[in-house]
Amino acid sequence: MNRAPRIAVSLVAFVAGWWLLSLYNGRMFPSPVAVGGLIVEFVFEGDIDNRSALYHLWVTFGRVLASTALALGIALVIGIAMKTNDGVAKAFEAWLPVWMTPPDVVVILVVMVILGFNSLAVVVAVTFAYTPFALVTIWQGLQEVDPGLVEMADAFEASRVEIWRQIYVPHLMSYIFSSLRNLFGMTWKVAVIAEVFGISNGVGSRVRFWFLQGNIAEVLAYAVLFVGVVLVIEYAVLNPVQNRAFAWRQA
Amino acid sequence: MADTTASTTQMSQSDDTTTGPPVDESHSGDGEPTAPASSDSHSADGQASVIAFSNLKKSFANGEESFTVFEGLDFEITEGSFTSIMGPSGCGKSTLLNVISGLIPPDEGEIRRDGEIVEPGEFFYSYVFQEPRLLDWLTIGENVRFALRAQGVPPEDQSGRIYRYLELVGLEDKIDSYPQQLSGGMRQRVGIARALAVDPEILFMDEPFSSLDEFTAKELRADLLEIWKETGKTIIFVTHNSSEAVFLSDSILILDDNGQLFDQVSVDAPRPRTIGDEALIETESTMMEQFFAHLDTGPDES
Repeated sequence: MNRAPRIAVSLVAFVAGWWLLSLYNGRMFPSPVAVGGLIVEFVFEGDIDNRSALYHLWVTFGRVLASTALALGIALVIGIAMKTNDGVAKAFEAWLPVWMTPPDVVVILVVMVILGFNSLAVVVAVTFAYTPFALVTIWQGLQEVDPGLVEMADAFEASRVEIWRQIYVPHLMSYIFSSLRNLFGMTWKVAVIAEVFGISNGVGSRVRFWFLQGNIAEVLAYAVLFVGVVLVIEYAVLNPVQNRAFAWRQA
Repeated sequence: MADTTASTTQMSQSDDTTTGPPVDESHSGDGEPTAPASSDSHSADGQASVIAFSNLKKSFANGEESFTVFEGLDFEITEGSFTSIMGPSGCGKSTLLNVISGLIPPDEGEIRRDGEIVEPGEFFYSYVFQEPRLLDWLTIGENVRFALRAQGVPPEDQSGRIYRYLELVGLEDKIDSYPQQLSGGMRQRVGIARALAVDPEILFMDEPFSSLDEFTAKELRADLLEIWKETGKTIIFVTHNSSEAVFLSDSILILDDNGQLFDQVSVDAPRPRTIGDEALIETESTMMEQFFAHLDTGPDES
């Protein structure tokens, strides 16, 4: 496998660059070793709130998962409604750009004012902010279904349910997947921002705490852990699932 | 055994009482056609039914104007025969196919089978399209199953039929492959297998070889004739390729660019035919000479 050495080389280059920066200014750029030590400490011995970093990651992950699933689910429902009803399609096509415009921070603040500083508010804010992005991808997918295939299915008198099950849904799978990956990459970030605003657990809460103490090394430790988990999910979960689901493409 | 095809359609040739092993005998078992298994049945031997179309008219409204695609069409199709519909682009070939299949109703005209009036949608037909129109995410076998399931073929009969019809088009060893692993010609064969697997009364083929390279198309034409001989299906084949029409057909309906049935040519050359056969070439050139002469004189004078 020639991917492993390539990844190793870029990783080493990244750490080396970071280390050089830390030589230049150790207070602003704590060394990779110092940050690595903090990661081990936070994971195995716990942060000073006596909770392992893994707990906070898990809490954030739960919120991310919930909002990603909700955003995708809502986008699918609206997308299908748009496909089956012209009026719905026109309404959402007109409003989508508006829905996509408000800055995430504004959405988070407004939702938190309404729902309070809790998990539900984080999930609702992230879902609200990212549903339109999922919808754009799903809607595009639904419009690109080959009408010839639907005509073929009609010629064989396939039922509406069969046409959705065997044509629309499999065709949509690649759009659902690409939407899922995009969402996942984005919702993590926004969920953490929302946590920074005043939630007592999750990665964002620890970032806020250590930032207020002026400790950059601890902030970086959480950032590195966080990036690591996202990459593991990307390569260990999403990639293999996608490869299996789209085996017909590699054909 | 329950009827193996969709309840809204009728089958004239099926034997629904047998469920024998699917592969060994090509014409028995689960709703297979039992009657016309030899080339003899392709000729009008006095027993084959005749489907007569008379005075067909179809027009479409375009704003306040009405555009007539064809009018006063009269022709006959013998069951088990190979009929081509030929004509220049835009002459209404596909519209005619859609009217015959009942996808769109005619404005006027009637259809009779052996003298009795039938509704256009009553024919149990299936389609082979210009492109294969396969579902890329399903294996070849599952693509055929899609049509069988849509037609309500019982699950226990499906696998046998899938294998048998893929074998008929020479693709039984590709049953687990995906469409993208096959060549264009192979994919079109799958389209043919899928259309035949539902055991239609009439097989409509809408320019099925026009997007293939000539070598592949030539091979598929020969194979199609073999398949036709084996299954005894009535085939209605749309093409704008006169050599193809003459090589394949018993009878050719020629539409002019005003949607008028200009001629119904019967091709009597014996089968099996070879491409380049003198009789075929002569039929084709006479047919085309008359067609161009007709175009030159214009419809008003004809």
